[in-house]
Amino acid sequence: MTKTHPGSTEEQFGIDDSLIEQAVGGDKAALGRIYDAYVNPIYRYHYSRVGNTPDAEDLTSQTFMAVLESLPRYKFHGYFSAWVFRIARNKAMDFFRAQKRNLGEIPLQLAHHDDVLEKIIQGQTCEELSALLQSLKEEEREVIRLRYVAQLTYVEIASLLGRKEDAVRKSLTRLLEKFSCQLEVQDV
Amino acid sequence: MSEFSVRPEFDEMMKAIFDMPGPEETFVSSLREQFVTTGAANAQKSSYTGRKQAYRITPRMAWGLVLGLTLIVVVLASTSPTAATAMKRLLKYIPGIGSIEQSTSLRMLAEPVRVQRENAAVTVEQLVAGSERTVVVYRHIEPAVDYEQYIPPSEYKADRPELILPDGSKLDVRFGRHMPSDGKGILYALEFGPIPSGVTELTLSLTRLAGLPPGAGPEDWAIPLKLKPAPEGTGYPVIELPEAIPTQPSPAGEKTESSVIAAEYGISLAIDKYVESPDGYILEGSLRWKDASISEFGVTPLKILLLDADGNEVPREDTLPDTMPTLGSKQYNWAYKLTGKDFAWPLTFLVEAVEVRFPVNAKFKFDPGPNPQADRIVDLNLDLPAGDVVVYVDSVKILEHSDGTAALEFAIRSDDPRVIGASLIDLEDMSGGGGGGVPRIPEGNAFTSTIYYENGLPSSPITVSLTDIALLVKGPWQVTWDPAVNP
Repeated sequence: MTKTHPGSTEEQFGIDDSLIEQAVGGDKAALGRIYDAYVNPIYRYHYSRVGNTPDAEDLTSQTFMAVLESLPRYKFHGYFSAWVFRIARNKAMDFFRAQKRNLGEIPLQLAHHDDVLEKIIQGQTCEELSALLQSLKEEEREVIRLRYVAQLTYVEIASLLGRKEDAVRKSLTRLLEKFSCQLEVQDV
Repeated sequence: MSEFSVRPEFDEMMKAIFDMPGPEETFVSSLREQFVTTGAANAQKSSYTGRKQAYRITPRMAWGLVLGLTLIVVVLASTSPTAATAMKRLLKYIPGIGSIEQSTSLRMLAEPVRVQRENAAVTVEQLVAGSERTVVVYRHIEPAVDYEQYIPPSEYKADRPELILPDGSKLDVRFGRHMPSDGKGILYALEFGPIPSGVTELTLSLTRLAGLPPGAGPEDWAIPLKLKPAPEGTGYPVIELPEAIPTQPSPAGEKTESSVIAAEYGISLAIDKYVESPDGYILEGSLRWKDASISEFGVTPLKILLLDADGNEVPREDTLPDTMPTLGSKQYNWAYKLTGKDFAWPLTFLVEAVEVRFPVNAKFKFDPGPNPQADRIVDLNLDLPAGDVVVYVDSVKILEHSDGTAALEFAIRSDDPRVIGASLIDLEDMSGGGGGGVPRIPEGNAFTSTIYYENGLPSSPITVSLTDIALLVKGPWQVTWDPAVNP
C-alpha cells in the first residue's frame, strides 16, 4: 500500500511505490521525476558540508549513482527521502574519512547572501552565527542540515537517524531556543 | 500532537540562514542524462538476466554452450590476432591519470606549470586530453587552517574550476576528486569534457584550491597551460580479464568448517585486469561477495600474499584501483604495482583470511560519573546479544589526553572464536567517532573497541550502541596469474 507523509518530498513530487517500481523497470520519466525531486536538496546538503562546488558535485553524482545501484533493493515504506539521504550521508562520511578530517571540524556553511543574513540576524554578525554553529556537536549540526538545508520533515529525519520523531522535534526546539537566546533575534 | 514545536516564522528564518547555493544548470542536466540513461540501461541488463533465468538450462546444455563459445573465441583468436588484440586493448593506462580511451588525437601537458602566490603554490603536474575527456592533475601544499578559529567569510563565490580556451569559451568541470596522497601536499584531479582539436594553449581557472574553505588562502587562480601531441606509444595497454579466474576458498581440497562458512557468504577473489609497463605490471582485482546481510563495504582482506612459483614472496606496492566500489556493489578492489618482470611464473595471489562485518543493533548504558578519572578501569561485565552471537563487554578504560580529547576503551570478548571486532558509537556525541577491531588476523578472541570524544568526556550517562560485529573468515582464497597464459 502506498504511503506518503504530509509535506514530504514524496508527497510534493508524487513519489510512491508504483513510481519507484517504474523507475526500477527503467522508465525514463519515473527516473527523471526521482532525480528532479532530489537533485537540489542533495546538492545543497553536500554543499553545506564541503563548501565548494566541485566536491559538492562529485558527492551529488556519487549519491545518485549509488541510488541507482540500490534502488532495486529498496522496500517502499513511506520514507524514501530518508533512504536517499542516508545514502548521501554515507557518501559525505566516506569523503571526510578519505580526507582524514574529523567530522567535528567540518563547518556548516551559511547562506551566501549577506543582505539576507543582515536582515535576519539583527545586531549580530555572520561570524558570531558561524561560531555558534561551530560550537554545536556534529550530530546537532546534522539535524539542522537535514531540517533546514535538505528540508526533510521531522518524521523523515527521525527515520534517517533512527530516533523517535518527538526526540528529533525536542532536540531541534532546544537548539533553536539556544539560537534565539544567543542571537537576540526579535519576536521569535 | 507533539508538545514540541517550532514557531513557523523562526522555521522560515532558519531556512533563509541555511539557503545554500543551488547546483549549476549544466551540471544538473548532464547528471540527469547520466542518471536516467544509466537507470534505463541497468533495468534492461537485469531484465535480460531475468529472461535468461526464466528458461531452464540443463547442465548438458550449459556445457554445450560453454564449449561452443570457447570454440568460437579460439577460432577467432587463432585466425585473427589483430581482432583479438583490438577486442582487449581499448583503454590505455597513463601513470597518475589512470585508464583513458585510446585516441589518435591524444594530447598532454607540454611541461608542468608552477604558480606561487603569497604562501601558496600550485603545480599543474599532468593534463591528458582524450577524445572523450580531459583530466588535469594539480598539487598544492595545504596552508595550515585552524578550523577551531576558522570563520567563513560572509560572502564568497561558488567554486567552479574551468578550462578557458583561446577564443574565450569555457569547459566546465565535470567532477573533481582527491588523489592518494604521497605526503607532498594535496593532489587533486579534475575532469572536463574534450578539448577541441587544434587547441594548444588554454588557462586553468580555479576559484579556490581543493580542500580549502572560502577565505583560507589565495583565490581566483589563472594558470596558463600549453599542450603538445602525446608522443607515440604514450600509455600502456590495459588488458581486461573478463570474469577472470575467480576462486572459492580451497584449503588443499579439504572441506573444513571455515571453507563451508566462506562459501556460504559467496566470497571470491579475482584478478580483473592488468597493465604491462616497461618496468613491471599493475595488477587490479577484487574480492567479491554475495551475502546481502553483510554490511556495505563489509569485507576486508586481512592478509594478502603474492607468491612466485617457488613460494617466495614478491614485493609489491599499493596503488589506486581504476575501479572503485560503489554502494551495493559488494566488492573490495585492490591494485598493486609490481616492479620487474623476471619472476618465477606463475604468480599466486593468496588471501589467507577476511574480516566480514555484519550490522547489529544492541545498546547498553554507561555512566562515567561526574568526575571521571583518567586511566581508571571500570568493570562492566555485560552480556550483549549481537545478531547470532553474544559478546561480553568486560570493562572500560577511561582515557584523557593533554589536548582535551578523551576516549572510552571497552574490553570485549566472545565465546565464538570468529568474533574479532565490534564497532561502538555514542549516538549523542559522534565528535570523535567510534572504532572497533583491527584489520589483522588477531590472536585470541579478546579485543578492544574505542569511542573517541573531541571535546572531553561526557559528564552524564551515555547510551553506547553496538552497530556491527566483525567475524574472522578463513580461506585461503587464491588465484594464479601468468601474463603469458592469461593475456
